Amino acid sequence: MTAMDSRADRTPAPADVDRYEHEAVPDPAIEATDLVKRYDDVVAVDGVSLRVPRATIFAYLGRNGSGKTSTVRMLTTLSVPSAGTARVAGHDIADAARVRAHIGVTMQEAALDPAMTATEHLRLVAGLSGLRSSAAEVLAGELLDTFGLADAANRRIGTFSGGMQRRLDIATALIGQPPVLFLDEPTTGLDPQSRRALWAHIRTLREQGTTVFLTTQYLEEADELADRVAIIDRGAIIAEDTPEALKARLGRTRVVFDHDGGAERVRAVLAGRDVEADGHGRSVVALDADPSNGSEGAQVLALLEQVRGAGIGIEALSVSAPSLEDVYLRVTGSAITTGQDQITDPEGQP
Amino acid sequence: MRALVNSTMLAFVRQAREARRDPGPFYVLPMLPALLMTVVFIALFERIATLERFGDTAYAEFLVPGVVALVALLGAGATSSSLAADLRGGFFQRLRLLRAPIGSQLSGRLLFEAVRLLPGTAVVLAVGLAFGATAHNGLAGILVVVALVTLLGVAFTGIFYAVAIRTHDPQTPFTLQPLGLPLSFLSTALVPLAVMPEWARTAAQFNPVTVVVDGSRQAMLGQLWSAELGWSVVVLAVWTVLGVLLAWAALSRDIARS
Repeated sequence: MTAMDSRADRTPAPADVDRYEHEAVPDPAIEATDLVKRYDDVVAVDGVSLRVPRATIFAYLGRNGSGKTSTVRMLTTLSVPSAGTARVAGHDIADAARVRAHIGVTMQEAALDPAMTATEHLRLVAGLSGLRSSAAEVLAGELLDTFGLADAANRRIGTFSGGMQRRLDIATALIGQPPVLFLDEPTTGLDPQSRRALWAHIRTLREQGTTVFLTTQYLEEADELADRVAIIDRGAIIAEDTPEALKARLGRTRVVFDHDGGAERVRAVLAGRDVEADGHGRSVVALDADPSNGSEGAQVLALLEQVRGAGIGIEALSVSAPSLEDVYLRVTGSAITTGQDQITDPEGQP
Repeated sequence: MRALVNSTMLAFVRQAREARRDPGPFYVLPMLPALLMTVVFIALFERIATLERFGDTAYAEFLVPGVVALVALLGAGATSSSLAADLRGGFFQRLRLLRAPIGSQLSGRLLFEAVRLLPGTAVVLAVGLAFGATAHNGLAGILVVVALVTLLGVAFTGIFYAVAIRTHDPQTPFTLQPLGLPLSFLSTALVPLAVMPEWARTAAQFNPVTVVVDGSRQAMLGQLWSAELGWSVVVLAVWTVLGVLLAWAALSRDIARS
């Protein structure tokens, strides 16, 4: 074992860890400075710096291969940074054992043994976390109740649905009541109902004081859950703020209207504006609402007057507020499949 | 140390539970080749003992303390399958994040490897005794043979763990099973050195299995505490340490590359 690995996997005496376990987590709960991760010639993470305030949900948004998981692996001490530093729950990630005593982690694939039952799984992990057998049994029962898995407690995990496996995975990550929780794409592959149920659990955790670092490729998820959002692209953070601030700064109001003028004519009338045909006979105008030109409503009305003034009749109209999708499009230039709010890369790969 | 012992036991219990649910690969398969060879070889090759070079021992007496080693050589490594599955499925990453020393995932499985070979070893010895083998040192000799076979299983499993860690392939036990054949046939497990062709005799003299089998044979047929037994223990200890080091090196490399 190399010196680096020895450091990463060193385990302190239990009593040594317990002293730290009950300390208050400082603010920010997660702080990274210029993190870099290289795999041979590939730079997966290229100088990421971020701060996650305590008891908030931080969404780390990016497409597959953008560097999300590599960042999480460094912050959770599963891999050693090529450069840069980070502190999690007040501890340097170089001190792996201290950090691990304060975090819960779920990775992209649920880390479960399909041959075990849910109870056996939770008791095993609790036991390996240092809990006595009796305490592990009580905790396993509580977690199964909390996550709606009590009826499946003695079923093999291999028979669970994707949503049940995800819930069990998160329940497992909560053993030891970690103050900082890393969830790497927790809802990928789940049906909408299961996603919303998981969101409710995650919100509850935040209300209980847990800091949640959530990676996702679902824009809606980041918008719904996050107190702050960072967009990562090609290993670097290219935008970070609250969802509202990002939308206000980088989002654009979308004005969609049916008309009788033909797409090319509308585009000619609104020359200089970002106009698209949506394929259903409607035109879509992305409006940069500039406060110096009056209210957003007034600007929408002015735009419509411009169209009508050219003799084009408007038959139906909808106006949508800026979304994270707009923000993402603007900062990355990537396409987004609107059906699931899932980001796709320019080659169309999800 | 206490954390290592506790987590080793948890890993052991997990593995034992898996074996209880699917006993075939863990308890039944290891004994089958040795059992088959015990019955067939005694029936077919009994007259080999009439060769002058063979010595004074009946073939069944000679064969059983050797063929029982095949329980370990052709049945070891089943626990490497779950190790590879943990690595492939991501469960191992979760285990790394827990307080328990990660080495307990190897030590708990290794301990179970020893325990799971006990039934097969006992059955092969019982059948061998029924077919004409003798135990000159009684139960004590039999227990020494059982201990040697289980320790041989532990020693041999290290290479399975190293490959399972390297490949993350749960089929590792089946992939590596043929390794046991040359170790078995090019040793004194089935026939004495004296009746082997020259090239096989040379190979067998350098085969650590020969040392273990000679110790086993002495424990059943000769002196219970013999020099051969002492050498067997030394060889098994070195083999086990090398196997564990190989597995640990593979694990360290796997972690470093993650």
